[in-house]
Amino acid sequence: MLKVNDFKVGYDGKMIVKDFNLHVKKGEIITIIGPNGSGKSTVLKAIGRLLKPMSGTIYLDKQLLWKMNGKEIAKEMACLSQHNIAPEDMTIRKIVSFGRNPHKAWFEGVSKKDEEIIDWAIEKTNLKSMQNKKMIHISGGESQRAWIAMALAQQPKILLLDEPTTYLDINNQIEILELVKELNEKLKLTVIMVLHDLNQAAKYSDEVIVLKNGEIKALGKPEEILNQNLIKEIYNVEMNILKNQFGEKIILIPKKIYAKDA
Amino acid sequence: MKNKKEKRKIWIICFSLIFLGILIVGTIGVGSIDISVGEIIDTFLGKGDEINDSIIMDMRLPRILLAVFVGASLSISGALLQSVMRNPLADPGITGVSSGGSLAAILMMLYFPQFYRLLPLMSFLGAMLACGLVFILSWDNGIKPIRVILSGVAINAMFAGATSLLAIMNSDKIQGVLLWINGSIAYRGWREVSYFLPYCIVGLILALFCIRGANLLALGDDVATNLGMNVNRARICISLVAVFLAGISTSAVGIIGFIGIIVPHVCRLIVGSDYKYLIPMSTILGGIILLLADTLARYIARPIELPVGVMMAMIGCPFFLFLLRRRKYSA
Ligand SMILES: Nc1ncnc2c1ncn2[C@@H]1O[C@H](COP(=O)(O)OP(=O)(O)O)[C@@H](O)[C@H]1O
Ligand SMILES: [Mg+2]
Repeated sequence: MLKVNDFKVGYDGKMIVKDFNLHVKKGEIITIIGPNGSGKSTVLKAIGRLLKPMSGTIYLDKQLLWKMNGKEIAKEMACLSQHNIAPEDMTIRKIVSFGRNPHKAWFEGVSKKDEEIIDWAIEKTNLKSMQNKKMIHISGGESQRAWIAMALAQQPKILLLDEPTTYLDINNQIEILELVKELNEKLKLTVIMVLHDLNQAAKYSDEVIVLKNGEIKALGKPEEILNQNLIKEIYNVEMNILKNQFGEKIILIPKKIYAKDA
Repeated sequence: MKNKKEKRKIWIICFSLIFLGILIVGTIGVGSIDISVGEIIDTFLGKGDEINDSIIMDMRLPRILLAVFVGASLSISGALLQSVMRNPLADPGITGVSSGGSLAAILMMLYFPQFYRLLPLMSFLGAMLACGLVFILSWDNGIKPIRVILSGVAINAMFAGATSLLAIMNSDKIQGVLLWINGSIAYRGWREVSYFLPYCIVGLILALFCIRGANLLALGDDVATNLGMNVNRARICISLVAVFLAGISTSAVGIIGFIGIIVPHVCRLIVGSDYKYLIPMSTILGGIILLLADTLARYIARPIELPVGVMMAMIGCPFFLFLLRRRKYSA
């Protein structure tokens, strides 16, 4: 349902990501991992048309993405960057209601059906009891969920999330990831996200993309491609890897950093 | 489905409108000559004495109308610029938009006085030029808030320089120019009102169309794009409306600073940052503030009248510095 061909992406003529190819099937969860500055956000933004690629093509349901109307894309695909800021006095519900924007002509107000979808998105993200709280008065996890709820209110088929769990405590992290999993299973939502935690990436994704210096170093099922050599090449970290234990296909336990000259 | 808070905001806006109405009637009587309420009513009923009639109808009324609509225009202009530039300190004065408009207007008045009628459009062009320059100067991978202020200072200095040059070259007509630079609603009559008001009403209606766009821009470029907005196009359209409102205001009364910062800021404290309420509230409060300032300007040192621009600067500058230090909102 989403095809990326020969992508080159960068800023001000400086290339950051090159030779990026990706085919995403409906209902997949794909996670991009890699060190800081490897170009994960850059790729995600370009797929989510927040950043214009230098060359290459993206097809969304066989249509060329850059030829599509902005609102048409927004009904198919929601893309959340890592940091989102809202006016401080805005309530959660107000933020979520913006998700209906792509479905409205400029003169249309919020209809009854919109209200129902907003209610549903708020319910799904467990925000019902605090929907009238202002954005300034809520925690990081709640704010992250509010943005996801806004994306859900767009009723997209594809959801792009950049580090949705960073800066959250472990409880909030699992909550977000379980929510993503549930949306994926129940609504067949296709998800492409960026995560830092390798174990979470392995547990929640059908496929992982390993990125370093803007190049794909590996792509495939987590339990098949994540191995000691790859991790060493990417992160320069020695990993103990357990397979098929505690009900997980793969568990990675960091041991130490290799000496600089190793 | 409106909740209580939204209803309250609507009530606040209605009450402010009523207050503005009362204020308009109340300030008719105030000036270098005081006129009592009874005499005002007499004039409107057509049985007032001639002097009062002429003071009220020929001097005070047009002036009050100008103050209200210019105040409204400048406030909305500020509110819109703040959303476009993502900067709560942006306003037509700071960003140099007003001085661009005023330079164009002065040029026109000095060299092509026969086209006086086109003054508002000429001011608009000048304001657009200034705004375009500020955008170009403050562009660095997106508009950087602090650079907006710095470029505004530079543009302001440039246009002020050009204005001084014009003033020196035309020292015989300098009196009119001076009045411009300081921003004054004195000595403006129905002629200015009739040139200004049609444009102003168009501008105010256009501003209503900017509400959704301004709200989306407040969420940041990424979120706005994600929600299907063409961010660059929206920026340009909203800026054009803001610059139009500021330009035509300048053509009518010259440069009046700070009102575009103060009014939207106070309105955010009262009705929050949703432009659905912010625009109507700024319109009304803008009218109220400028009307008060102008009334004060003609009262405080009477029989001498101060330019209202000077008045606004005296109130506005400390407020601006206060905001600059605080830069934190809690509505
Ligand atoms: N707006 C930008 N302008 C210029 N360079 C940028 C910009 N954003 C990121 N970069 C550069 O692109 C590279 C990749 O960044 P990013 O995609 O954010 O990495 P990651 O998300 O993997 O940490 C970095 O070297 C960064 O310095
Ligand atoms: Mg990143």
